[in-house]
Amino acid sequence: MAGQEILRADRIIHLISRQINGTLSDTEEQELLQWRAELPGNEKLYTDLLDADYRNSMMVKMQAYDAESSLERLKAQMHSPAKSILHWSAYLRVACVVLAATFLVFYLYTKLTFHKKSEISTNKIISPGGSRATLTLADGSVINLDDAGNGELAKQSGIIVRKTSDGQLVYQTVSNHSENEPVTYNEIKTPNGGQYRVILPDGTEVWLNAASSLHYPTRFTSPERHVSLNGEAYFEVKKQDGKSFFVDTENQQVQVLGTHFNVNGYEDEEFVKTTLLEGSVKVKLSGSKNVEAILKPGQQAQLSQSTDLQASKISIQEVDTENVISWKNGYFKFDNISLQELMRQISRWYDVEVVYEGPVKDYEFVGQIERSANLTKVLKVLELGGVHFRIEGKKIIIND
Amino acid sequence: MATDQNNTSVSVNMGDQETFEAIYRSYFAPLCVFAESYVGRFASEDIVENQFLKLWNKRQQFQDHGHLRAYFYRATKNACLDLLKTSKREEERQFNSAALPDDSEDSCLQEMIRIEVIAEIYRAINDLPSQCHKVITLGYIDGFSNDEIALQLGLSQQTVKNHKGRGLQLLREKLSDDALLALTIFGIFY
Repeated sequence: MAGQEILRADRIIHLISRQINGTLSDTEEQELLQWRAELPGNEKLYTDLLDADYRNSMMVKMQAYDAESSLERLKAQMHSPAKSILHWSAYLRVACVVLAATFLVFYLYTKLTFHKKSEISTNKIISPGGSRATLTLADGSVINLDDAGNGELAKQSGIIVRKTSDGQLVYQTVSNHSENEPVTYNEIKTPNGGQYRVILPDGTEVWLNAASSLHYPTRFTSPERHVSLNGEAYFEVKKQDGKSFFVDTENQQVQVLGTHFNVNGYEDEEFVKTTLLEGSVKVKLSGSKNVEAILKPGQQAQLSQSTDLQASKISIQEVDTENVISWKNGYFKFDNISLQELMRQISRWYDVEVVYEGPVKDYEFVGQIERSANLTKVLKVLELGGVHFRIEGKKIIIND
Repeated sequence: MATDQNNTSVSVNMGDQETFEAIYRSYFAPLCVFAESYVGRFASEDIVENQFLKLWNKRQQFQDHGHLRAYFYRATKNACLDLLKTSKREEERQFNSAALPDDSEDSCLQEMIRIEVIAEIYRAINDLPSQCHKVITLGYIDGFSNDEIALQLGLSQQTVKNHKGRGLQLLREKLSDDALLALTIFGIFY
């Protein structure tokens, strides 16, 4: 590109900015007048930019992009290419450490030290979950997403749903759709052992954990964006013209404008846990005016799942957010959780039933396991920790 | 203004981490809006991230800021056009526009002017001191009230008000009242 033309464009940006600021001199005005007549399109560009409404709409678009989180993503790639050739041995070392860590980091504190040997059936391998889900369209038809090929899945009133090559779901609005078409709803549902990522029509990204479902409109037309969730999901909400985004679960509502957060609302868990990673969110007991809290990044709100609304209150605590969203990054990561809590996660991901025979000792688990590991490997770790159990088919029976 | 008008003669090295990050914060969102006009919301971020990554990997140097800026818009536009050309199905084209856009130098510079004038205001807000920026963003863009902001940032309501006042003052120094009209959508003046 010629240097002359670039200098000229810089100059014009400067002049139009000054015109907007009302600081343009007479000679500069002449210069701008001349430019406006020079090329077709210049005049239109000029009038657009002097229109405050136009600038408003462009500003809102620009604010919707988050340079910081994009930069974070990019940093991982920025330092990798050179290393991969020069220091391949470093990778090997890291791989060994990770492998060792998988087994070693798994500390376990138990009050009893003696234990008898548990049985792990070695003849049957129970594999971990994967990218599995079903999509229910507005007309009630159900698409199995693991079987579906890449590309367009369905077209419904001005919306196209497609599956990308890396297996996520994307909604796109056809440009010439009519705003008056009725809003339709879709539902994505993961089974035990399934996990899925979807990009909603407003650009919001949602990672859905196992045994969960998300109900959402295929177009956000009303002044508020509402979705409802069963189970667990991690959200990266895109800001949109100051339109709030709401996540409704059984008895809680989360309100945000554009932030990153995780909601764990499995019905078999004692609390709905909402964890904020970035930005700010408001957590509210559904149907209540005063039971609410605003979270800061790094905080988690816990709301009892009990149906006694009178007794409901939200407690807030600082948590390690890395642990909370480890599921999305391919790990089970535990920090002082009970055996029951651990087994609930295992049962959802490996699609196994867990049965307790008699009372269970007081365990506290700390550590991490890859979600890609077979169940056998996970159970070995349990065994090392002194938990007694046996396997019958797809049932794990704990008999402490 | 918040631009680089005064730095035009200083060369820019995109292999320097600090420079790279500063340029990223300044150009990422504007370039995404630019790319969005061709390929839509979903592909825009990927395209822009790729442009940055290329410059980083090549440790690319530019003779001045103006050249860097023009290069960015040109390269981003080329990447968008490539994507449109390779999108095989008819429908995908329909999304983005019926025919491929004008590919001339003149039109690219015109579009750059369009985005960059807006980007000046965007950068002015982002250049505010961090606490001012937070208060202004939470208040005017995220729509939280003073007491909610006070709670979130652990400040008193009076401090929040002071930060707002200071932020607006700083913005006024950079932009005229008319440019500030761009902010009225966030309810800055009530």
